[in-house]
Amino acid sequence: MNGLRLSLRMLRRSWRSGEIQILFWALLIAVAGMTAVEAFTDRVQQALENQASDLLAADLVLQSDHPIENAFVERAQELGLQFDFKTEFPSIVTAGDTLQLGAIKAVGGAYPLRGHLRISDDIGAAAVATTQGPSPGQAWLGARIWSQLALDAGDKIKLGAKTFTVTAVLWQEPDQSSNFSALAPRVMIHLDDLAATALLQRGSRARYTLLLAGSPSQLSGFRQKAEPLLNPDQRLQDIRQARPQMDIALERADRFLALAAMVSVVLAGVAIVSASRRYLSRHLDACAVLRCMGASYQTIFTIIAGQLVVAGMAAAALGVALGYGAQFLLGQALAPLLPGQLPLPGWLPGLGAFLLGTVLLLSFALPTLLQLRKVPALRVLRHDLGNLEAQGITVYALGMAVVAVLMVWQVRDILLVAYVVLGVVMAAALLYAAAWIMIRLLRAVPLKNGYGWRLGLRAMTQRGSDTARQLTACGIGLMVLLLLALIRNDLLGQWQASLPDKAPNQFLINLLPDQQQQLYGLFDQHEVERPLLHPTVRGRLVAINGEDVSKVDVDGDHAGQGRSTRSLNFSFSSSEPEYSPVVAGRWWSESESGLVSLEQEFAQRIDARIGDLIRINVAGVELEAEVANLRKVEWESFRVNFYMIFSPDVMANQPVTYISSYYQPETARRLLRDIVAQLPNVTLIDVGSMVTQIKQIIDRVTRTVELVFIFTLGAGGVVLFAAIHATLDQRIRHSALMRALGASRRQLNQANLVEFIGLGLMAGFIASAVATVVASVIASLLFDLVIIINPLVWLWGIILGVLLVSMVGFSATRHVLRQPPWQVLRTLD
Amino acid sequence: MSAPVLLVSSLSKTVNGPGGRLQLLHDINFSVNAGERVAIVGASGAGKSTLLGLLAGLDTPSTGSVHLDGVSMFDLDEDQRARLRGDNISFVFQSFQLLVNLTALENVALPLEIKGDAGALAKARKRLHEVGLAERIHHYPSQLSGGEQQRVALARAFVTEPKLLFADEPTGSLDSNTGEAVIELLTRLNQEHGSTLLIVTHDDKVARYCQRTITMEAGRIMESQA
Repeated sequence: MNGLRLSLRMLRRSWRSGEIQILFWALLIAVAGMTAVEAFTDRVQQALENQASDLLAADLVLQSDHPIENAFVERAQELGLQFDFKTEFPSIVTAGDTLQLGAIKAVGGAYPLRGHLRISDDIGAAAVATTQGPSPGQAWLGARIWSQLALDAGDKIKLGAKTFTVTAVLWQEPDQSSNFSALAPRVMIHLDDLAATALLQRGSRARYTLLLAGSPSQLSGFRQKAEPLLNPDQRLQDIRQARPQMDIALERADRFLALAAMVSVVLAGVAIVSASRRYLSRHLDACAVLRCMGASYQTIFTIIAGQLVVAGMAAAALGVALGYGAQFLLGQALAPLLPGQLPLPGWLPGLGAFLLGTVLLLSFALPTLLQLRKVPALRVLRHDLGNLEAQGITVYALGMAVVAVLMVWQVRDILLVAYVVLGVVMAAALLYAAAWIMIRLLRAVPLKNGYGWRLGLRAMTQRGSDTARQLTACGIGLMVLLLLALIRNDLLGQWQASLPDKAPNQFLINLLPDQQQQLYGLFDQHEVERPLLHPTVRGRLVAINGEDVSKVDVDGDHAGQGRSTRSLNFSFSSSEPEYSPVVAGRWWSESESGLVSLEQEFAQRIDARIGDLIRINVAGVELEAEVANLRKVEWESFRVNFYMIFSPDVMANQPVTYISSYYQPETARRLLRDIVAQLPNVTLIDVGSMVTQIKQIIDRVTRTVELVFIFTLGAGGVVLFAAIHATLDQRIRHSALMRALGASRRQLNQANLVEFIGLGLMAGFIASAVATVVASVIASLLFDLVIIINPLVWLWGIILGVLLVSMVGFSATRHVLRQPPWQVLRTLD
Repeated sequence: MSAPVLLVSSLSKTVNGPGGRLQLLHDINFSVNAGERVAIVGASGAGKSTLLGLLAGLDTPSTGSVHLDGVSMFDLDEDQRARLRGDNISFVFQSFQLLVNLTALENVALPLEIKGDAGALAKARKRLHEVGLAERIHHYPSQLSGGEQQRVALARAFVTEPKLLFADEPTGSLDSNTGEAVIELLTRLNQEHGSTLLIVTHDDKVARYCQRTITMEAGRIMESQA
């Protein structure tokens, strides 16, 4: 086809003259960013989920109140999944004459399928990791029950009808329950020995679990087949349902990375709009000439658009290659941090990014290119005809919709894409409006002194709509960078803050009121900071405003596993909890009574509002209180939190125990032993390993976020470059004319400087304002974060705007000022 | 004389201006025979370029018709008119209108390539040789002088062997010596190729190279003299 051949021939020259390069680089970065982020996050996600699966001891578990049916096992076998079983139930452990209640856990030979156990030969010995449970005939016991039964390795214990040899102290299990409501100390045995104990009879209370591990496709296959077979007492859980803390961290990380990748796509769109506009404006005369020569519209379109499409496709293809390279490097950089081998990336992210790049190019360049139809042949005689018209953002609506659909396919998060697209459209409109107002205001500024000043300011105000468009593009580039920086800082900051170095690693429950001093004494003795003790009362929620709520699911997502749907831990306090601030209503004073404070999400679930009357039942006694306020709780903080905190009068005379979480340094391990020995009714739960795992995951995600951010920075840079270059021809012509008319290079430099600084200043100012608003909205809607905007953002926005715009602008116009003006004018004609 | 290659009947053009309707051309009638060299002269604003745009089918009239080689141009749609131009007409412009992204050779070959002529480059080379630019065929427009650029434009205009050549102020951007050389070359090529030439100019010297002059004033033909 002639058009295409001509197009390719012209492309060589267009490339050399730089017209197409901006578009090329914008697409290259966007596609590379998208490929890298999607391929890399896909891999990291898999690795992270593998690691997170350690907390379940499997990828997926099926829990049941009765023995697991064979049908499930058969499905797992059909799909080639790795599987094993565990059975948990409470029972009496006998050692000589001593009896203790133990939480028995019988595990198969392959347990744990993910993660590891930590055991030691004796209570004082160092713990080592192992990936297998006890052999038949052996029993491993938790440190507390080991101490309580005063055991040594090799001693015998009895469980039901079977005797076991005690061989190890069990310090850590991957699937250690975070549920501390009714936890007895652990005794682990082999599943093959379970029948011989004769402890489980028909109707015995036990929890049966099928543990499963395999590839994501095997697991989703199992889900599909197993879900129709589930009884009401059975449920399938993966890491997300099982551990809401992990869910929050992973979901936010997912979202941030997807956001960063999408932002580079949106930025590329903006760059393509600017670049294609300049490209076409330089080809308007060529269109008219071709028309004179008898070329059909279709041929002209092929020649002009073909160059963009060919360059764009090349950029997209190279972007995919670069993206894969980059994700490989990212993987290498993070390899020491990630567990095991990273799985290889699939080809889908690459294909998706390539398609996205192509669609992006067509959607954002096409509205401009379609203006070719409006270029009349008569333009050869009358230069003023067929100039590009200003286009509103609506022209890009279809393109944005298509890109949005593809983004949804890529990042699988429709809400996020909707927010990004709406956010960009609204931000662009805001930026454009603000830019117009600023230009109007500038027009009113009286210009008296300094020729360069006048020239620069006038250039900005005279090219009103160009300047507004340019400000919008620069503003979007800057805004997105500021926005991402703001969210990134807050996201990372809050992650780190939610798990400080001394995050609580022990939970203590069941402390009686008269044991407080004894407990403090032990802490003092081991030089560990005294823990904060919270009074707790068990009870049930009965009614709200007299209406029965016993059927309401009070658990929601954050309740952890296995909690009874109606039995809750209540607390009472006269002062507002430090880590759980009031977000609505106010905390009560000493003189007020009969009040309760609700956790906000819990309040939403049970549909309770401030002023409502809540009735609870504690040990058969019904108590009533009015909702005084709502609190926010950071569930991932590992601190003791309550759904309901009452004013102290409500709980007077109720049976109280105390609960606490505290940080126990590694050096104070003996504190644990002493508490267990001296306060035998107290239950201690070691969540240290879980905290460490979550911390590691957060650290890794943080690093990934930092690396991915670099791509977005690149995309932002290209947008600025494209925006400045969009009006470069006008600027160059203007400068050359001014020089021909006798303006000195210094004056022109000054004029350019004024214009660029002015542009940067306005773009930075507007971008900071819009970024501040959008960041707050995005943070609260998508990341559930409350952002405290640092006022320095304004300063940074303006500094960044001025520096970047001036640098790019100067580098583009500098060489022009060195050339003889006549030559410049002729080149442009 | 042979049959008219261009027949203009009752041509007028009216546009809406800021001060109301503005008639740019009033009832223009004339014809141009094959092989004829005609100059359209007049002061700035006389309507020369508007007329040229209509004659070449680049613009549409308010009333009247233009027949090119017997075909009524304004009965065709835009793409058909473009094809008619490609087959019959060439242009030389005041501002050369070379494509900056193509070399001299590629610029000259362009109209043939649009028509799908396989020998486009060879023919283009030959034309560039005719206009004395054999040594500069791989230069880009920005690397050529004004006179050289206009010679490339002439080579491009004649490469398609057009029936009719429109020239719009072909010497307007050149100094008088170069302009004269270009107009001599244009006339020579026109004679060699036997094409019809219609030149719009305000320069009497250029008009002298033509066999007939049509003088325009305020959108009307004032006189037509041989």
